[in-house]
Amino acid sequence: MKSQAPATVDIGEYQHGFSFPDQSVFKTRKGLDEGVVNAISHAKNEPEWMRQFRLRSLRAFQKKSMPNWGADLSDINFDDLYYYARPTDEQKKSWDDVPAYIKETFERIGIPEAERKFLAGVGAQYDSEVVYHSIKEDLAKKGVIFTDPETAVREHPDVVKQYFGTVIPYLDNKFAALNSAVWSGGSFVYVPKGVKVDVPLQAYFRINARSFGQFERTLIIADEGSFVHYIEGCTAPIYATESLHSAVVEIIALPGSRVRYTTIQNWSNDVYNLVTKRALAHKDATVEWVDGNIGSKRTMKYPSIYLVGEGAHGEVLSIAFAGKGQEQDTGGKAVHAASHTSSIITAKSISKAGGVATYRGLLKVNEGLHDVRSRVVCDALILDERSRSNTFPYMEINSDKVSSEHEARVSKISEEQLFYLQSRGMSEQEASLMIVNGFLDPLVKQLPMEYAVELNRLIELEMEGTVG
Amino acid sequence: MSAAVGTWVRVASEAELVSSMCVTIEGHAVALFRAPEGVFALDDVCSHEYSRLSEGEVWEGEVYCPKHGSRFALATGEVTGLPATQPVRAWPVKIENGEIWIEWQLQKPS
Amino acid sequence: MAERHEPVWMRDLRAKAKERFEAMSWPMTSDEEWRRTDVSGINPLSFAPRSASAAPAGAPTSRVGERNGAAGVLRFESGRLVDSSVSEEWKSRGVRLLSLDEALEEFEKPLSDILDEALDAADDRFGVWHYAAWSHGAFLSVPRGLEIKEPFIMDFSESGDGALSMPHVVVSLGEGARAAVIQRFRGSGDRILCNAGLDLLLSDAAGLDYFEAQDLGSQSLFFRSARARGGRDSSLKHFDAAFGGRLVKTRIETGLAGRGAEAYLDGVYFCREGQHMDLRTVQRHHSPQATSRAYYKGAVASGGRTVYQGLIEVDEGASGTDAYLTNRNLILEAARSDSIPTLKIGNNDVRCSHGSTTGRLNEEEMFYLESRGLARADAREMLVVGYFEDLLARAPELYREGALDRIRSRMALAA
Repeated sequence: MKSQAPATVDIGEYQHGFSFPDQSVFKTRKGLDEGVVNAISHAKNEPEWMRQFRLRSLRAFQKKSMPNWGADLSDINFDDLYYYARPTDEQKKSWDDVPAYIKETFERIGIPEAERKFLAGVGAQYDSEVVYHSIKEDLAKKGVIFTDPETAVREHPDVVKQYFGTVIPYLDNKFAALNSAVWSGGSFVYVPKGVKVDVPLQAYFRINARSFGQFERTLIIADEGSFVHYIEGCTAPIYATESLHSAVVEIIALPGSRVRYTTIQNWSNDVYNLVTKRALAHKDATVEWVDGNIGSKRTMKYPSIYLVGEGAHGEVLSIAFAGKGQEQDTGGKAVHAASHTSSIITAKSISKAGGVATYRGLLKVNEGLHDVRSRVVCDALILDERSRSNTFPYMEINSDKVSSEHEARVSKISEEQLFYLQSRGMSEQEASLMIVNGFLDPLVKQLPMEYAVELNRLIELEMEGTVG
Repeated sequence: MSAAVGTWVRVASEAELVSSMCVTIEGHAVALFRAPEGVFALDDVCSHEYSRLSEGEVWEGEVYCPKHGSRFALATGEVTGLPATQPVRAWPVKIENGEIWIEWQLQKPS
Repeated sequence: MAERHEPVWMRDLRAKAKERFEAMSWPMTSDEEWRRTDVSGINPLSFAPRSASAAPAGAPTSRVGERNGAAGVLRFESGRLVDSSVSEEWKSRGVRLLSLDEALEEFEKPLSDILDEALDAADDRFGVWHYAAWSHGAFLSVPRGLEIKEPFIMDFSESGDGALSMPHVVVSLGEGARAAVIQRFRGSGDRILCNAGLDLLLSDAAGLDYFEAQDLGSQSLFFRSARARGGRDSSLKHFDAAFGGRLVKTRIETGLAGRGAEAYLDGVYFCREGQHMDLRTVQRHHSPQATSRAYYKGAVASGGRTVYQGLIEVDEGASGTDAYLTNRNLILEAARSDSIPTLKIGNNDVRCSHGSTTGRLNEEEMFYLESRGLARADAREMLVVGYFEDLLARAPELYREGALDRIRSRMALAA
């Protein structure tokens, strides 16, 4: 059989093998204790209340135990990580001011192009600190705040104090506690009443220091009647030692607002990606999580929506790709705490070359509610005999006027489809890729175009080696 | 001892309550808290998942459930922080002669 | 426990189980399978095992020989055998329906293997306790090639306040044999703890229809662990109906261990105020080209709580698996229903899916019936009976009538 060169992708664009000698200017010592936490707070010039919050969180982290379920996290050695590093001394406003080596990193993953065409503002993160940040003028005029959380703590303390840690308390789980103690970088977004942000807000992160942890913290507040779409996507170079990424994302969607949060995660295959993401949807608000997990060694992430006001609606769209050596343990949670609410969770996964894709989800309906509708659909494609798929959905319904549906399917690529496509001249690899893209299409369609393109390229790369 | 309308039940001495403790009335667990604002009583079991509020920390008039951090106002039992979405019952408290009393009212499901 | 004359192998088995029992503690809500059923308020050891000589109140009405068209009958009242008969025809061809203690000697070989394996598989204290202290039971053996249409009836009637009852049933079918069993647990208002076990063994090409119904008193506690194993081209159909008991925790696990094996697990459950039912089904695919289905439908009325946990597990070598799991829950009024259908799939050449829905009676249908002159209570009853209809239609008439009866009486109470 004649082998064909891969069709459209320029593989060179996806070399994750590049990295830069560590130019972090300020880095704490390895390991985690009160001294490190105080140093972090001091380096950020934080008010006392935030320092106390970090210390309480540290104590919670030390007390809490590792989860006794989920992906295999036994190789994480907390004492062997650096928890903070800052590459430059001040936040830059213009692209020209950013140091050359950082610019090169971002240019290789495409920020300038994106900035010109699609972006309203970019919070770009290098080794935990936001280095470059610009806010387009009209957004600033509308009163939209898009900055890093450190700046928000200093310049908008009242708003921050009102919401920070209320959706995901530092006691929520061990990794939320860790993040709450050492968080650095991330985004703070506030959209005023009635303002609709037409262009997606984006941010990129990278892990670069050896054995480094990433602990970005994002807080998004959409005031009444507003709309915002936030996109998070990340890449990281390959290192031999483990890397830990433990982020926290809190979203508050006030009455009538709509927030969409899109993630394409493509950490390199030595990263532990343990994220807590949760949204609070008030009356008539809508929150949509679009969550794509392609990379990392272990991911545990279950974007959640708490529907606490009547008329609220929540959606989770999840794609997971588990390749060789990977465990993607993902899903979504919908908690209905008000009547006249609805939720949809759609999860698609592909496992290949021994990878394990697990769906874990919760649908909970409180007592005494009525007119609650929910639907969960999980579809898993297992590409070969070595790979696995698990589905663990939990449904806890405590009211009678509820309609909930849950469906899950596990299958492989259909022989007939493959045969048909091959008979039309496609190689087995091309045919498989086409079928896989078809499987993911309903979700990919929800992504902004350059993400859809990036995702398709990533899938194509992952699929290579499937055959033979 | 139970009655249709509230009956005052002595549950502990002031000296016994340092910061928080759990008492049982007719098999029902109640958490007592001593805060700068006063002495408060809430149902001990968190409304989110099984966990004891009497083992949680108290900050600024709220108790933080030790398991997942749900917050409840000490005075009213109202939920002030996720992941709990339902309140816990708050019990009226009085202190007389160094003893802590709770107005107990057994509520039967109808 | 009263003195029993048992062969050595059984005494050894009990001793082994007792040792394990002593090393374990009762299940806690931190154990995944017991998360939603809290047994910490129960003191299982406070229930008294019946002594072998104890006679139930009133004389047993045993009529040996009368079977009403059944292939065989075995009846127990409060642990005492009161009726046992098999048709001469089947008996002469090798069918055995005995009380379990009678079978221990004659059937040492199959029974010791089955029960040893079952004890090894027991993974919680109730399961292990059962093998240490089982009190009475039934054994049905059908030799190869025999196909028996009429059902075998096994009836367990339980009474005696504070009594402990641990019945065990074993059914073993030879190659190509086919049989059907209708088994019932019945109780009164007495508070009983019944910790039951069931082992079903199907050789290659064997077929078994097993209909089980539990209607113990509303104060009783019912724990039941059932295991089935089917060889090549075997076909198992297990139907479970749960109506009684204050606390019910059951599990049925079926292992498909031969190419072409089939297992159908059907269940209905109706839970009212004051009841807590936690049911689990497990479909384990060990070999290729096997088919399994689990279809459980429940209704829960005001103040009741149901939990359904289902698992389809497919081993790496089980290509060509076709497995499906469905759970439906009807919530009649303020009640709680949890549904956890899960999948653990290790082979890609499979068709596996599961579905779960939870809802209430259709208001439009209610309105329609009421507008035709039906009182609301009657309309509700009709819709609920209709809800269970598709499952009950698959059961034999005798069994179906009993189930419908229970459903109707519960609707009357729940109205």
